[in-house]
Parts: sequence; structure tokens; C-alpha cells
Amino acid sequence: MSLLLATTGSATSTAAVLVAVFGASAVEMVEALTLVVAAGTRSWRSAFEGTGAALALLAVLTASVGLPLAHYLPIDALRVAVGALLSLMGISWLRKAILRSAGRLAKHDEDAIYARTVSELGAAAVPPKGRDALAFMVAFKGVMLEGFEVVLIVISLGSSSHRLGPAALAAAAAAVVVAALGIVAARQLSEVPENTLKTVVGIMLTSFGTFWIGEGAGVRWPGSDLSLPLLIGFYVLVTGAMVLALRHPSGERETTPAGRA
Amino acid sequence: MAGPRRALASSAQFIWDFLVGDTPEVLVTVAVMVAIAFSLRSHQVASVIVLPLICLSGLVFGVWRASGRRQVLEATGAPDAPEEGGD
Repeated sequence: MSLLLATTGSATSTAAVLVAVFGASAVEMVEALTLVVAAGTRSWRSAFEGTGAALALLAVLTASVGLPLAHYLPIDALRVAVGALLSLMGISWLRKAILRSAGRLAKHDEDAIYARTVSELGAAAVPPKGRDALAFMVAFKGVMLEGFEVVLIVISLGSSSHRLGPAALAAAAAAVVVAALGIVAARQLSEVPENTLKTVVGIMLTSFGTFWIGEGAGVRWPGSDLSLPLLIGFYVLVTGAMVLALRHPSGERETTPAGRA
Repeated sequence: MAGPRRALASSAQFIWDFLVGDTPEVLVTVAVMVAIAFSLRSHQVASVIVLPLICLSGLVFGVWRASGRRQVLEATGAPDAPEEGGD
């Protein structure tokens, strides 16, 4: 019986890790892709070079900082640190997602961000030949900033649960799906239900954060990994209750080109 | 010497903005969660109930603070200030 519980708990935990990593990576990659496509309107070659340079730097960062940290830090200290980091990110994501769902904060509008970035980029002269430094930098910064968050989440969730490989694969799968979507849908990235994804990921990160802060500190959760679905259920309920409590009676606010607001 | 110091300062600023931004209440919540987890580790039942409740309190306070700030902005007609921190 205890073996069955342990197996069920482990499978549940693995599934939750993969869903959280895939969702978080998809959200961040949609935001990065918007900027890469906008930079591509000036120079596709420079936009791809900027993307490649950012991905290379992220890989170096992951290998030189993340992996040694995961290998040499005692597992309990790692779990407390990771739990704290995931809670910080999770509560922040959830807070914004709740405010957006309740109509208290403008939703993230990828089309508006795309239009604004293209307009800003169009104001500068395009060099007749060679690398377009502006397109390179916009793509580089976009991929670097959004990718940094993905790297943190993959290393945090993957290393604490000893599922670094599957977590990295889930992030790669999200990259493939979003890139395919980008090719097929071009600029229709606003169709991606970004706030719903952020709500789901925020709940997952907050649940994992709470769980690992406790585990790392020596708290034994009832049923071990099986506590995770209970924590997720708890945060789903309170998120729903908060959205309902905050929702404007007159309906949602208009969407504005608020950028990262 | 000024170069590396400036790079270190801007890296620290980036990490602070990235993780905390204008929501220090989230950082305080997480610090309290860690402190409570260590101090209650011998009281298993209490800690598994208290930890999610502290997290919930921080979330409610953060949402309430943001809603209050937005109402003040709307009342004074001030433009929306973009928020910092994670997405």
C-alpha cells in the first residue's frame, strides 16, 4: 500500500513538474517570440543571430552556475532556496494573473507590444549591409530576459525533484510548440490564452514553493508528494475566490497596450 | 576597478527588480514562510497548515495593495505606472 502511494505520489509530482515547466516556458517564449518577430521585420538574419547569441549565453549560464549549484549544494538547503525562489515567482505571477482576471490590471497584449516595437524599430535607419545592431539587440534582450526566467524554473523544479532531464525536455517541447505556432500564426500570438496559462503556472509554482520550503526545513508533508495536489487544489480555490471577490460588476476593463504591466 | 563594481551593482539591481520589483510584500511573505518552516518543523500538523496560510496572506495583501493603488490612480486621474518584477 505504501509502495502504491509512493508510486502514485511520484507520478503526480512528475506530471505537475512537467506541466509547470511547459506552461511557464510557453508563456515566456510567446513573449520572446513577439520581440524576435518584431526585430525580424528589420532584419531576419540579425534577429536570428541575436536569438542564437542569447540562447548560447543562457546555456553557458545554466551549465556554469545552475548545474554545479544543483550538484554540490546539500539537498535540503537547495530545496529551501528553490522553494523560496519558486514562491517569489509564483506569488508574483498569481498576483498579476488575479488582478488581470478580475479586470483590475490591463491584460498583456502581444499584438500591441508587437505593433509598438515595430513602430519604434521603424523609426531608426536600417544599415544598407551587414548586421543590423538594433534588430540583434532587441532579439537578444527579449530572448535573454524571458529565457532567464525559463532557466530558473527548469533548474529549480528539475533539480529539486531530481527530474532535470524531463524538465529540460518539457521546456524544449514548449519552445518547439511556440516556434511552430509562430511560423503558422505569424503575428496572431495574442490568441494564446496567456493569462490562463499564467494563472495555472502561478498556482503550480506557488504550490511547489510552499512544498519545498517545508520539505527543506524538515517538515514531513502527509502523504509526501501526494500533498502537492492538495496544495494545488487549495491555491486553485483561493485564486477563484479572489477573482470573484475582486471582479468589477461592470465587467472587465479595456485592454490597453501596457507592455509588461 | 569601477567597471567590475558597476557591473556587479547593475547585476544586483537587475536581480532585485526581477525577483522583487515594487512588491516587497512578496519577499517578506517568503522570508516569513522560511522562518516559520524552520521554527515549526517539530510541529508537523501546525506547519503544514500554517505555511499555505502565510502564503495566502501574502498573496491577499499583495492583491489588496495593488487594487488600492489602482483605485488611488483612478481617483487622481494619474497615468498607470508600469509594474516591475516577474511576469
